Amino acid sequence: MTLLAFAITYSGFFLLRLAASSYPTLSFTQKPPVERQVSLRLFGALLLALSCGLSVSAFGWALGSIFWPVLLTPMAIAVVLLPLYAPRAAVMLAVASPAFALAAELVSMI
Amino acid sequence: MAWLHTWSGLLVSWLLFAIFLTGTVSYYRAEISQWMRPELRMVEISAEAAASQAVARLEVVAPDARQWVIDLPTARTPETQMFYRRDPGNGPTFGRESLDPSTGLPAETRDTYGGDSLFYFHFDLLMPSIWGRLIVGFCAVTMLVAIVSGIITHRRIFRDFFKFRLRRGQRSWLDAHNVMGVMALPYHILIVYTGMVPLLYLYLPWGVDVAYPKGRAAYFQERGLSTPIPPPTGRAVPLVDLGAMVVKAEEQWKGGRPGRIIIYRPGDAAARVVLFRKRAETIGHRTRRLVFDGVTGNIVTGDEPMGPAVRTSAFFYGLHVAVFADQLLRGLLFFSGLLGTGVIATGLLLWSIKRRGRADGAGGSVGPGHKLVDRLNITAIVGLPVGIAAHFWANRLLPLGIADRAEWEVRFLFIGWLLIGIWSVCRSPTRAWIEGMWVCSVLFGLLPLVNALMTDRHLGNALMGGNGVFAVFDLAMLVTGVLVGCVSCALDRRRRTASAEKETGRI
Repeated sequence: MTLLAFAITYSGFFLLRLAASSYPTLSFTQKPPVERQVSLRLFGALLLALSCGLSVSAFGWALGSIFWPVLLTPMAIAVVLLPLYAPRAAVMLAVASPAFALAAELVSMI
Repeated sequence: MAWLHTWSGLLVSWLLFAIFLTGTVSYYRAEISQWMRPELRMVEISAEAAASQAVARLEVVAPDARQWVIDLPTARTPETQMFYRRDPGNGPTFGRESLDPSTGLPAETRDTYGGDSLFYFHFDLLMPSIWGRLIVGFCAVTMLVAIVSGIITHRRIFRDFFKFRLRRGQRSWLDAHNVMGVMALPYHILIVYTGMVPLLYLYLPWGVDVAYPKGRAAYFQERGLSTPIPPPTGRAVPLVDLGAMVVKAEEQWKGGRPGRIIIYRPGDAAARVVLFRKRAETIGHRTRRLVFDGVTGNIVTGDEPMGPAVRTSAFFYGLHVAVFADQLLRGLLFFSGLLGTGVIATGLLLWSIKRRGRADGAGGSVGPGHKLVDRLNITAIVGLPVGIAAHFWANRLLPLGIADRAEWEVRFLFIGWLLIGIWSVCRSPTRAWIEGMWVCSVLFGLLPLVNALMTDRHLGNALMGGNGVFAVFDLAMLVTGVLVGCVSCALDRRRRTASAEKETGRI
């Protein structure tokens, strides 16, 4: 559950970043059009809300509400730094990590 | 508002950097203490057994004490720590000892304060009396001013949320300052605000006086930090076995474990025993306690519900020290703490870079004030880490038998710090930065080697034996050394290209 929380927080911030600026690797040479911005923001916010829910269900309200904000910080920093040095890997991570974490979660449930 | 941010920041930032860094490091106070006492091994021991061991020992060392305090071993502290207070007139009024749970005898370790030195520095700067605490409180209030004025000055918090431009000189520094500040903003506000709560009675005692007209003692009793004790009877009655109390407490707390035991008037017919719940098990600081009769072993006072104000203060206190955090949460908090330290450091650098840029543009040179700031920046940002590394080196290298050994370890912290300060005055700022960071890098990078030469608890053994604390500590020192070395190399390369350009420009 924790791994999944990490993964979707990163992906959520990544979508928010896509909405805010250009991303040449994805052939977004300029800021996306407004409708795309809105949907990216919505999806990003949705993932962050989901990570909040995951934190609370993993640690309970008391600890989860402390865990979630301090989880946001390093993931947001990763979304700032990673695209600067490894733009492709940053995209891959945003797509693959939630899938991987979800798979790991399912495997551990079995 | 920008001027307020600039000047409130500059005024306290050198000290604030040290407070933030030592505070961040203190998340691992228990682990640092473990590393600094390599003689101790983790032992599995039940709370009952550890408590009886401690009582047996205290009956030998201080049977006439007024109060015994026992801190039971935890998953992060291998030893039982205990101290006692005596009424004046019968020998030393205070004494402390730590027990090795595997033998029940005083732990045979080197004389050291462990992680406590950095922890105490964090809130009292290791200054006598209350001066350090007052200074730290002033810095905290000023930092709140800097944070709030910083948010107002920033304006584009959401629009520039992810903005970080590389290799753009002053712009990059400003972006780094903003990103580190904004990304961990909830943490920064929370940690500075809650940081004032543990010393609230020192800073603003008047609120308590108004709410508790009968005196502050009533407040501390409600807060659970003091217990009303009946006067001594003078009749000697042996203390009942603590094991039964531990079992009763665990029943009351539905499996919760006791962490600290305080025994008032041991051996007297009016003895009282207070069991506090383990700090790792509650977010609030010491919110659960049970008071037992020391002769019958019955519960005298249960967990009384606390009032809202007292609970809030206990909760904030607990939130600040974060003893409740497991290793994952602790790591995340540590990361946010590092960002806070980074915000302060980049803020200091920005002040200097911005003014140097202006002076260069005007064709003039920087004034004496600016030179002073440059020196202080180096002393603060490079000096303290060098001091911490020297502190760890001293822990491993100082001869075990010397007098005041623990004091000398602390002195080395300040010696390392001071030497960098002196160096920063002797050299040009650019060179002092590079050379200071080299020293820092070498000191941290070689620490695992020193550890391996002086003890048998080196990285190889730690990895093979699965001892996480020793392995992670050594690796963290190594990584710190390498990172600081890389930054120093990068600065040196830039200095050389800059001076080469100047040369060609002249020709």
